[in-house]
Amino acid sequence: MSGTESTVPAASFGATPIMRLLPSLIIWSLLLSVPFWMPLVGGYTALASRVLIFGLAAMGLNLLLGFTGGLSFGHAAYFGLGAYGTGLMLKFVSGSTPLAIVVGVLVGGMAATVFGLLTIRRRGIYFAMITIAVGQMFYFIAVRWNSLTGGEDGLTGFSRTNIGFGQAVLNLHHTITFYYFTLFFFAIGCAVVWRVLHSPLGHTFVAVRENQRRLRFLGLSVGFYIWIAFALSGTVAALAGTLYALLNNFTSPQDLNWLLSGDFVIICVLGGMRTFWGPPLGATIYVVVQDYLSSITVNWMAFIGALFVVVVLFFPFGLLGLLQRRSSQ
Amino acid sequence: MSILSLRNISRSFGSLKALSDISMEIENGELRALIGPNGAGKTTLFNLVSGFFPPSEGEILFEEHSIKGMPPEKLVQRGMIRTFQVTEIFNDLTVYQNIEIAMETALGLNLRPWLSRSRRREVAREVEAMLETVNLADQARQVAGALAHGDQRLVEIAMVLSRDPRLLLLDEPTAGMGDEETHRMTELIRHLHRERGIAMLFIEHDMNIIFDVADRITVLDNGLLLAEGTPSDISGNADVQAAYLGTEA
Repeated sequence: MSGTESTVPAASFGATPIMRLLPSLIIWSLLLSVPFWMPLVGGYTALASRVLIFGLAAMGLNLLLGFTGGLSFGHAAYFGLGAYGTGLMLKFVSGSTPLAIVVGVLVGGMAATVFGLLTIRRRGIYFAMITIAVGQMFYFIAVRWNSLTGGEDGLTGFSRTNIGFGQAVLNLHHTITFYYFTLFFFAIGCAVVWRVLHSPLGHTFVAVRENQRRLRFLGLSVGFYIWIAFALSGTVAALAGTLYALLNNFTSPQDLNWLLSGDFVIICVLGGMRTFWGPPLGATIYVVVQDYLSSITVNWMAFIGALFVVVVLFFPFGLLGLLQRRSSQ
Repeated sequence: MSILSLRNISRSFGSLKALSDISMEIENGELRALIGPNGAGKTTLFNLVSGFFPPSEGEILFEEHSIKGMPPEKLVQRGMIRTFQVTEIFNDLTVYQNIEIAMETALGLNLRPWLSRSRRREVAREVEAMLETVNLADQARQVAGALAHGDQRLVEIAMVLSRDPRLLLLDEPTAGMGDEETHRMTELIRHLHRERGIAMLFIEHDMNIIFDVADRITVLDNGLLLAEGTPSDISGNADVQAAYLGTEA
């Protein structure tokens, strides 16, 4: 027994350090080499950026959903606020992309911190209802506040700008460069979530999921830790939202809508809610299936729905949960 | 000095009077058994003392300070902690993780997103010492929910002990256990009492354990305090025999 290594998030594939590192090594190698192999499998690089963005948003949500046990149907609000924060910043204030990202993350993250307070006194279905209500509030604001947000038509008239480092220029208009730019922020998001999960804070989140009564009778206020998880989780979703606005040079009220919140939940469940890499895996399936099937049929969502039902019925721990179970047997 | 004083406690649920005018004192380091037939009000009394709900009337003092209306988390911080009739642990986590979370909580580390190497070692050392105390070191890597019932109880005891309580409330610690497990549990209770001087109030049905372990016994019946005294007082008490022991025999 090693003892010194904390192991609460059950995300280890094997016993030896090499075996434990191997999946991460494979995943990061695949992600770093996307522009080289993506065309070979019939994809395109912007699709991979989209996978990363949805994966990051879902990973943020999963901090709350999978690890703390709080079902939020409102995380699109923080994703969308990140997107609008970035878009409005670029359109009206400053042409600096990094600054626009910072502002987007702050707007979405602060909203999650403030409105998270409203949700923490409720549990279960009531918690979920409040998250929907708060989320829809931002959706309707974006729809109605035409002069600022462009209303139903969405926010246009901004685009990501290149970043200069002295002589060198990071050309974000170049699709592959933008992919690596997205991957950089995806990696930061992963590092934050991983760090939290492997710390006493993350252990406490898992304890909230496992048994709130016992946690209370160990001397902790459960609601306070749900709030922290909510705020962190919304901030990561906001970071993903800023990248989404930059990817599309556009953002619309759909990015705040509870349907998108539902998509994030589906992504987490598909991939595996109790695993670190589950949400990115779910996002890969979701985004690729959507991209492929939506060119064939407008009813592509029916296929995602069917897949979702199969996963929930037969692999309640998601696809990655299933893989881990197999490998540990 | 009393560690816990109940003064004229009553609690009603609607028209049902679950406890009427109960007064009792538990001394520092005392092992007190709380007994009585089903529906006597034992668990209600536990819920009042541990902060689940306040008494309708009366006063509760912990170490001479009023704790009436204080929530459970505050009471735990003050040094009183309880177990439940149905074991409350983190079922999907390993035994080690269960105790690790309790220990991190006891050390006040819950908000830390990062621990220094020496801090991690300290936590690990404490967890391993606790595993030894409750004799679960061999099961450390097993999922707690898959353990035998008696071992799950030990996990819960280890978790509450991590908080280093001065008063421990145990709700039927040996319920549903076999002879071997019961023996281990009573030995542990004795050990904690002797070595750490922890005062305990425990609800128990097994008369052998009660007379074997308890310093004093409090008997409840129908929400009323029927008798209180040493095991020999209680076994000779005619009221208790009529109301309680009589039905057992």
